[in-house]
Amino acid sequence: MSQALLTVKNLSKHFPIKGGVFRRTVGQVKAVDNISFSVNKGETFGLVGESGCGKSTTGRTLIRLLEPTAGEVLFEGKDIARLARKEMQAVRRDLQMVFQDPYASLNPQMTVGELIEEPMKVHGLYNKQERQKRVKKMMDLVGLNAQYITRYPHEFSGGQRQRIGIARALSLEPKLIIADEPVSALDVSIQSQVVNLMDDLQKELDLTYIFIAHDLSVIKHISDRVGVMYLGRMAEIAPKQKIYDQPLHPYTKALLSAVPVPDPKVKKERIILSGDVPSPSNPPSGCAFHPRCPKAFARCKTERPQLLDIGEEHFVACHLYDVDEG
Amino acid sequence: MIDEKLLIINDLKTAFSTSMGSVTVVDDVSLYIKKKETLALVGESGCGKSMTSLSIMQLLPVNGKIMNGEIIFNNHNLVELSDKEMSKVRGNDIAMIFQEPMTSLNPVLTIGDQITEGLLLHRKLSKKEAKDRAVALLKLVGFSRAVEVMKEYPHQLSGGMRQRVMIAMAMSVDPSLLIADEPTTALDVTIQAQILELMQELKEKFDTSILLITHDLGVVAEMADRVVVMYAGEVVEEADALSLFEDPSHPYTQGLIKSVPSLDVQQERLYSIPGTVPAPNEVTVGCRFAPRCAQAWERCSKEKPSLYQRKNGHQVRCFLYELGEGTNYNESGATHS
Repeated sequence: MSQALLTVKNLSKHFPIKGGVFRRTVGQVKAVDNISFSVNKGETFGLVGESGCGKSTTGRTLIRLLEPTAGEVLFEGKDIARLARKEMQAVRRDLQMVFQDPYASLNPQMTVGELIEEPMKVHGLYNKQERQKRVKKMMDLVGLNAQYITRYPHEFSGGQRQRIGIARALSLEPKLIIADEPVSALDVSIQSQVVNLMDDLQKELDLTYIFIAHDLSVIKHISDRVGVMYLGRMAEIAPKQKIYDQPLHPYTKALLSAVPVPDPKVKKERIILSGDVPSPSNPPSGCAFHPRCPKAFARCKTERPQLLDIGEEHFVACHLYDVDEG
Repeated sequence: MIDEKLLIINDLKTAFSTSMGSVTVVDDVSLYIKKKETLALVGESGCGKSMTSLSIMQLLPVNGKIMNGEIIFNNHNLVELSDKEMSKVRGNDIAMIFQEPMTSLNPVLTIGDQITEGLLLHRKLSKKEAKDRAVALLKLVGFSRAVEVMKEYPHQLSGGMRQRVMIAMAMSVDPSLLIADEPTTALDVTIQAQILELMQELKEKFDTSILLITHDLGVVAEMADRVVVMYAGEVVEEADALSLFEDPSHPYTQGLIKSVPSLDVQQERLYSIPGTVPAPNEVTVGCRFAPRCAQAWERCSKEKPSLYQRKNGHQVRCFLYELGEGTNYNESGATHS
């Protein structure tokens, strides 16, 4: 087995709900609730799920843009969940993030050159000349014409802005990139350009990715292993082929069956889930998926399923696969 | 089979007056929708698909204007109707649902108030009748607790439920045409599946025609009878859904279909169309897709192709099909000059 670059153990992120005259904490939104997974060096780990499942919160908590409530995040063996601010700053050079909305995540008052240089400046790396050289190199790497160095973000299309975002992240030579819905704001023809670019960069620079997305086809294309989240919990983790060819969790099955296929001749057997995703402030008892699950039985209402090891790197949190159940 | 056309658009041209002068966003678009049919209008951001639908409804932003063309619906040219007459059409014959239901619903009115408003205004029902009808409509779109939902506010509902409310409001006028502008784009896949199923059901039950505007080819394959593909304000291809996916003809349509990552086949590399969509104020002489087209030759950047006929109403705006069926410059080895 390959070497784990990042290991997440029992990570939780709860947000307090304040209420009443004294703004007392009256409840908790369990955005991420006790999840564990690991990411191997050089691979792409896809994190997929619907809105509110906690996939973005997970990404932000890993990099400490949000402080974790509990759990460990081991990066190269070191627990970064407990590092002091200063120490974390140094580690962050190795962990960079690419955000969804290239319109909102770039400062409109900075030129492309300044935007790409900024992270190096913040970390006090290189002298001015070297930084300029690196900016040009980064622009070349992500396929932006170096002539545009003095232009502002509004002069670029969505796809080009996302390239700027990627160049910014790469300028620090990170080991791990957490990409949070990097292509979901883009049109299909542009989406494929950015996905291919990320593929190329991974090979060229030996990068490890955590790729967060709601689009199952994009996740399938780019990932080596996939984690499916539902309501702050990990429902299933497996190598890509396993998730897509032999999904085990009833939620994964429903999710895959719901994707419309661009071929009118294909009539899919669709599992239509009834109802909506429940609120993470008041999750259902037992298995969070049980009120919508077509296979739920008595135990699902009372006992939260643990992530079971089915073998061959396939993990599923569902009582159906618990051997004790018979 | 009834082939009666419900809506016919001829040479529609819609422009915006901007600080940079007049910008044409819908350029000579012609299309039709048959009774009981779902027509999908497909394209990427800025291709003019939403502006085409807003032109039909005459709900264009203040700086937008229909410059030319006609929109024939029930033997009336909608372009020539007065505001009052158009408002009647919107209340009785054509209904529209939008991508983000939260921005289309009034946050300070209850769901009940909003559904009954249209019924009281256009249908002249009594309050009691309107209320009963509203409850029936909410049940129709899948609310089991319809009576309670009547008293709730939009923020108390999830995105999927809000879209159901929008559909209930749209169906409240028994429209013969429903325009759905990216109705499921803001929704999760499992909720999208529910809404698409609901739209199919309603269409069959009430014989409604649907104009479905979307960028998602999966949704198109699932819902559409016929498809019109737009690029940079123009129609580039029109075909029935099967032909479009089996035999996509315009290089843009081919690229678009190939760009979608597949759930079934693992591709080494995703197909991508180089370059980006031209800005709406960019003046082009030849084919608008030529700068991004792998099959373009000299003529494409000098002369504008018209829509050429293939079989069964399949039309393509590309010189490759100028000489009709059986001509394929690539295979026949004809020189591109």
